Amino acid sequence: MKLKSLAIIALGLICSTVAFSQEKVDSLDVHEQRISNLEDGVIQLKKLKISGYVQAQMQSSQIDSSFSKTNDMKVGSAMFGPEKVIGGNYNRFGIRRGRLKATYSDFGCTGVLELNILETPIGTSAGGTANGTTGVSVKTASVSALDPWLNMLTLTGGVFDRPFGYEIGYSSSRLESPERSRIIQTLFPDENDLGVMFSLQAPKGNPWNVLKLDGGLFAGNSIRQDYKSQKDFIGHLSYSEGTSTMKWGLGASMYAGFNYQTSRYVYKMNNGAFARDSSALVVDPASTTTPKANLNLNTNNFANRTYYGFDGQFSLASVAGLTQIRAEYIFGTQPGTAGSSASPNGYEPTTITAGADTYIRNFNGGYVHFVQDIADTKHSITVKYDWYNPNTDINSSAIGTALTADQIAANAKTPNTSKPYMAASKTDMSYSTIGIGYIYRMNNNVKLTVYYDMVSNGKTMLKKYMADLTDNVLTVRMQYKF
Amino acid sequence: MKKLILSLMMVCTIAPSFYAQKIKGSDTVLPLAQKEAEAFGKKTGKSVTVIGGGSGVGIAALLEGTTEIAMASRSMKFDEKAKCQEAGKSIVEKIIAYDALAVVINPSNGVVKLTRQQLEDIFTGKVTNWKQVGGADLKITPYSRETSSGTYEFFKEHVLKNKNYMSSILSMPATGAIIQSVSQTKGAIGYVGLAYLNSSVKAVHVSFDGKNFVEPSLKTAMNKTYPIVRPLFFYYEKSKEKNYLPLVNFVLSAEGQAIVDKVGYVPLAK
Repeated sequence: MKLKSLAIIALGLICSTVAFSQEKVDSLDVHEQRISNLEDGVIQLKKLKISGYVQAQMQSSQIDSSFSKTNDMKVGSAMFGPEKVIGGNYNRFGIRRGRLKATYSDFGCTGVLELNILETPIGTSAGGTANGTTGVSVKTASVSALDPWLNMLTLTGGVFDRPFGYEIGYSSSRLESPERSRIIQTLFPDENDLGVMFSLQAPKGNPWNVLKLDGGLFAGNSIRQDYKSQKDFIGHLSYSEGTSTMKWGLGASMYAGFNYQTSRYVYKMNNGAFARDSSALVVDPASTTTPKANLNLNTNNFANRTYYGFDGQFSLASVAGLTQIRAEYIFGTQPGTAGSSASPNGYEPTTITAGADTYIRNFNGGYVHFVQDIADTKHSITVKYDWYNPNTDINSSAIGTALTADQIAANAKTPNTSKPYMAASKTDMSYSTIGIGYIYRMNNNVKLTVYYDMVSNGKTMLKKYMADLTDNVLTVRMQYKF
Repeated sequence: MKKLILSLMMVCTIAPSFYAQKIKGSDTVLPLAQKEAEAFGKKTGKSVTVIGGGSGVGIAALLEGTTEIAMASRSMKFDEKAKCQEAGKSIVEKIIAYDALAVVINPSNGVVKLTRQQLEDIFTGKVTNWKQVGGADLKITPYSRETSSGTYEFFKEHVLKNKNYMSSILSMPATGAIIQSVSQTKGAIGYVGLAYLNSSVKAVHVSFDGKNFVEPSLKTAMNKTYPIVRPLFFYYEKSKEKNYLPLVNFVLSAEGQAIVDKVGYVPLAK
C-alpha cells in the first residue's frame, strides 16, 4: 500500500513537471533558433488578414398600391402578379450581405480581394421572375502602394470604394442602419467603382496628418467593366481630429463624370415639364429630304454627371455612452432616363436598346444619422433621417399636372414618341425616410439589429401617388463578423 | 479515502500549470508588472505572464481577446473606446501607480529650469537654440518616443497641450535609447520615466505656472508639486472582473504598492 501510495505521488510530481516543461532541456541556442523560426512564421502569417461578415435578415413591408414587393426590401424576390399575403404585410428572409475579404500587406503595399456571397438567385422561367441578387460576385479587388520616400502618397487601382463623402466608405458591417441613405444608393450603386486613385496624407505625428486628399479617375459603371474612354473624376478632401473623449471631422467632395447617351434626344426641365433639348438638333446640310433632317449629335455623346457633397461627423464618449452624429448633403446634376434617376450599374453598350432618351435632372439629398450607446452596456439606439429629391426643378405636388396648351400643341405636331415636351413622372417624386433602430452587441462577433423605416413620398397629382404610399419596412438582422 | 487524497494531490500539482493570467502592453509599466507578477506568484502560487510591446499593443490585444489584462502608460484613445463599444465590451480602468516624466538634457548643458511653454516651444520647433531659453548658443536637438508609445501620447497631451511635435524630431524606440542619445549629444533634450533617470543625464526643473520650478523626484511626485506625473493603468473586461481581482487587489495593496516604490514609480496615495 505504501509503495502504491509513493508511486501515485511520484506520478503526480512527474505529471506536474511535464505540465510545466513538456520538452527535454535543450541548449539555449536550440531554443533561440526555434523561437526565431516561430517568430519568422508568425511575421509572415500576420501579413495576411482574413475577415468577413454575414448578415442574415428578415424584412417585412407594408403592401403598397402597386401590390408588389417594394424596392426598399433588399432581400428576396418579387412574385409575378399581386402577392396574396397573410397579416397584411409582405415578408422575406435573405442574406443581405455575405463578405469574405483577404488583405495582404507588406513593404507599404496592400492587395485586397473581397467577395460578396449571397443565396442562390431565382432564375427566369415561365411564370417566374428573375431577381436582382446573385450568388457570388466580386466586391473589391484592389492594390495600393505607399510611396517609400515621404510615406505620404498612396496609389490605389482596381475596384474599391468611391472617394466621395463619408457613408460610402463606412463599412456595411458597422453601419447602424440596415442600408445607406437613399441618395447614396441611387447615385453610387454598390458603393464601389473601377478606377485608379491617388491619396495624399502626411504620416502620423505630422501636423498635416489631420488632412487627407483623395482623387481619382473611375469608369463610372459601378463594379462592372469599363466601356468608355471618358473617365469620371471623383475627389474628396477631409479633415479629422480628436481627443481622448471626442472626435470630429468635415469633408467636401466632387464628382465630375459622364453618362453615355443612347438616343438622339436629351430632355431638360423647363417651365414645369421636360423639354427636348433642341440645341443639338442641327440641320444636316447634306440631307435630301424636305424638310431637311437633323444631325443626330446626341447619340454616342455624353451627358455631364456632376455632384457636390459636404459631410460632417462628431463623436463623444461620456458616462452616457458613445454618442455619434453624422450628416451629409449632396446636390448636383444627374443624367437618367424617364423611368429612373439612378446612376449606371452594369450598363452594357452592346445590348442597350436605342431610344432610351436622356433626362437631365438637378437633384439634392442627404441624411442625418444619430447613434447613442446606452452607457457602457451592449445596447444602442439609432435614429436616421434621409431625404432625396431627384428633381429640384419641380415640386412633387406639381407632378401629374397637365402640360400647358402650348406644350400640348407642340407635341401634337410631332409624330414620334419622343415629344418636344414630356411630363414629370413618379421618377421625379421626392422621398424622405425616418428610421428608428435598436442594436444589441452580443459580443465581439455577433450583432442584432431591429430597425423600422418610415418611408414618405411627396404627394403628386398622379393617380397612384396622390397620397403617401404604404411602404414602411421592418428589418430584423443578425450579423456575424470575424 | 487515501486514494482520493492522493488523487487530489496530483490534481493540485498539475492545476497551477493550467492557470496563467496574461498581462500585455506598456513597456513603461513592464518592469513594475514583472515584479508584481513575481511577488503575486510566490504568494498565491498562481502564474502570471507579462509581455511588453507598448500601450497600444496591449489595448489591441485586450480587444482581440488575446490578453486578460492590458497595461498602459496612457488612457485609452477615443477610437479604442469606440472599438470596445462595437465589440460589446465594457472595460474597467484601474490606476495602479503613477510615473513622473523627467525632462532630461546633457549634463554639460547649463540650463537648469524650463517652463511648460518653453518645453512646448522646443518640442514643436518654435525654439531651436538654447540661447533662446537662457542657455548657451547651441542648437537644440529634441528626442521623442515613437508615435505608438503611451509616453509619447502623454507628453503631447499634457506638456504640448495636444500640439504636434515638430516634423523633424528624432524618434526613439525605447526610453533607454533616449537616455543614451541625450547623454551623448550636447544640445539634446528628451523625456523619460523617473525610474530611468541616471547620472549620464541631467533632469530639468519644470514649472507649469512660470513661478515654481520643481525637480522631478519620488518625493515631489508623491506630494504633487512636480507637474508632469501620469497614471499607469490596468485595463480588463468588466464581465470577467472576478477572475482578475485577486491580482489587481494585490497590486493595490500595501505589499503591491511597496513594490511600486521599490521599482522607482510613484505609489498611490494612502
